[in-house]
Amino acid sequence: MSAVSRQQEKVLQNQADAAPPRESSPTLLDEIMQHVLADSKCDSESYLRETDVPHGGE
Amino acid sequence: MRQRVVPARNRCSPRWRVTGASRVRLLNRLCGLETEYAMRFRPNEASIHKPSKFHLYRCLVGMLRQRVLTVPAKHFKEGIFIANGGAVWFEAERPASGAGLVEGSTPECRSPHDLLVYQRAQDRMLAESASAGTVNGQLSLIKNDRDSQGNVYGAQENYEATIATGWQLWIWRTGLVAIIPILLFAWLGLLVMIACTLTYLAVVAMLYLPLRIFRLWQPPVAIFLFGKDLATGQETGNPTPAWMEPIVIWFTRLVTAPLAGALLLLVRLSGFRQIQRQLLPFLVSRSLIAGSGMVDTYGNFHLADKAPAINCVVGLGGFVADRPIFNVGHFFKTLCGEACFSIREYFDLFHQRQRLQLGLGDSNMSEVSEYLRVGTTMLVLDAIEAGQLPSVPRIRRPIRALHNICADPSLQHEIPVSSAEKIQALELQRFYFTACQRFVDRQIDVPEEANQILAIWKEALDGLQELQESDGKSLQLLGKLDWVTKKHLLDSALSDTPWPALKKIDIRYHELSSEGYFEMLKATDCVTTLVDAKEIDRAMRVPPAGTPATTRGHYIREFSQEAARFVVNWKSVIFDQGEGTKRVRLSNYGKPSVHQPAQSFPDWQEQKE
Repeated sequence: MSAVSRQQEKVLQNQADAAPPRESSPTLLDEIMQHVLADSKCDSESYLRETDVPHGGE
Repeated sequence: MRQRVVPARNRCSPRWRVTGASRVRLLNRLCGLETEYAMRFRPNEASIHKPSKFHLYRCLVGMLRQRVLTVPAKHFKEGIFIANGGAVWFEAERPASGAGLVEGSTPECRSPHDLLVYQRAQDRMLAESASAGTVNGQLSLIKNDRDSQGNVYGAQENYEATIATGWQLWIWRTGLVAIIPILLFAWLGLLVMIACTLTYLAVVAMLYLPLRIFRLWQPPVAIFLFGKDLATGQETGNPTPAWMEPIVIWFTRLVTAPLAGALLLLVRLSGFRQIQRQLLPFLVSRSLIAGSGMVDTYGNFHLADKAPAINCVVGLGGFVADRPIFNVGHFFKTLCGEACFSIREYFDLFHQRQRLQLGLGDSNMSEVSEYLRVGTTMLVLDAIEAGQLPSVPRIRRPIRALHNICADPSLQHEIPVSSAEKIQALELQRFYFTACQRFVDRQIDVPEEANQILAIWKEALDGLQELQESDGKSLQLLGKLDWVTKKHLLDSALSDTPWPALKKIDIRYHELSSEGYFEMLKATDCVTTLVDAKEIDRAMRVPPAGTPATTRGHYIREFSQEAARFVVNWKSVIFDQGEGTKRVRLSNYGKPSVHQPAQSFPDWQEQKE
């Protein structure tokens, strides 16, 4: 088996190993969601100013 | 039940023109990603002077140099090349204003999986260097495409592709010869502008020296005249003062406008015409699987961050505020700049295989979205170039269709196509998926990765179908597609959440730090990953095999700590040996798995200049 094939097999195995979404750790996901919602309201305007990119890019 | 204008079977069934098995090398073209990262700086103390973005970039690069081998880039903008063959640049439209971005370019890769790995390695290197910066505050990078003011930047994709065949290739090459007088006019104008700028700087410098000796000089005057305070060395990355910047920009546009017009006409007649026609409906609907999601100024959700800013199908990318799907600005830059110094750069444009640059595409946080963005595009390009893609629906008003698709997260919007039919974006994606699946099935030697891409693509389309039928309630694609994940976070916010908080969710989702929302979600099981940490570790140091980056990376590893004058660009490695300059061209990079380039490829062109 070629190195590429082994690599692809590993990737597919990683995917297969991935736990079913959501149900496995609802508490952690809920905690993060709560944190995100709380953090988003904190200093949001200054955060937006800090991340502004005048004139944009290419 | 929703009324359909045309039966789905009629709209989505590809009509095949070819029969029998064929042998096409799939997923075997050079490809690369360019990503612009916004810099967020928060000083440790409010009293600290806010440094320019160029200064922050310099700090970040300083930290990066401590982690990986680098060499200076020989280019028109400030940058470095890394041992893995990739590069980091300071990108600024108006550097004198103190603004700017960090731009990362992956090394040239050969497969979507490699490209994903190198993109993730680049993200990690830059994020770690930013967080370890020595500035008096916290620096972090945002891998997104639009700030809260609506300024657009972000991602670009590059694929090696056939620019034309037959009589169209003949037109392309004849046109390149025919534009020589216009090219010479542009060069003359640019030389006049450079001469005027240098004369100005020389005169002002002569005035500066005596006044500086007698201490009659004030920093604000120096900044006005030079664009920087020569005493403190606070730089903006711009060689001219701020007031001169718009003059230089507009004069450059004026003298190069005839060339820009001629090039656009030439591309319209012969450049990537077949690819543009057959790839366009795919790209217009690709936001469904690869969009990052965005909250606009009215609080409405869009599937993609950059797509709503796209305003033309083909363009030069910023010449006159154009934001194209197909960007031919690299041809323009080659003609205006690089060809002026090396005639070989001009003749390289006559090759049939050229760089196809896509300006439509988001910077992704999800590996699945990023992989689908590149992998599906490469499969469609393979089918187009093999002549095995069935007749595609022709979209009327593609830019309007793109905007309307992105503005409808319910996925119900129908766009008009040829013959007065209407079609949904999801059906367009199904059309291309089916076409690619049949194309792959017909091939004799199929790489496993092609089937892997098809499997993930199908899973995504099935998930989107479920999302559509459940009125957006399905969570099957949470943690897989960026826009679905971001929308879930935004939908969790209360209805009275103010716009700045929603926009903060939108932007902080893309922050490459432990405080970034997507980075936090990685701790849960819902985020699907396709590459592992070991692959990323290796990709930070070792270039991909079988590409120009292989050779470039070899030279960087071998000579970055030895040669006093050693610079690199995308096409060559240049040594200054005192007696003269030795240039090693990277165009003959040869076969995969090059470890001893000089022995494997004795026919490399080494030129004494």
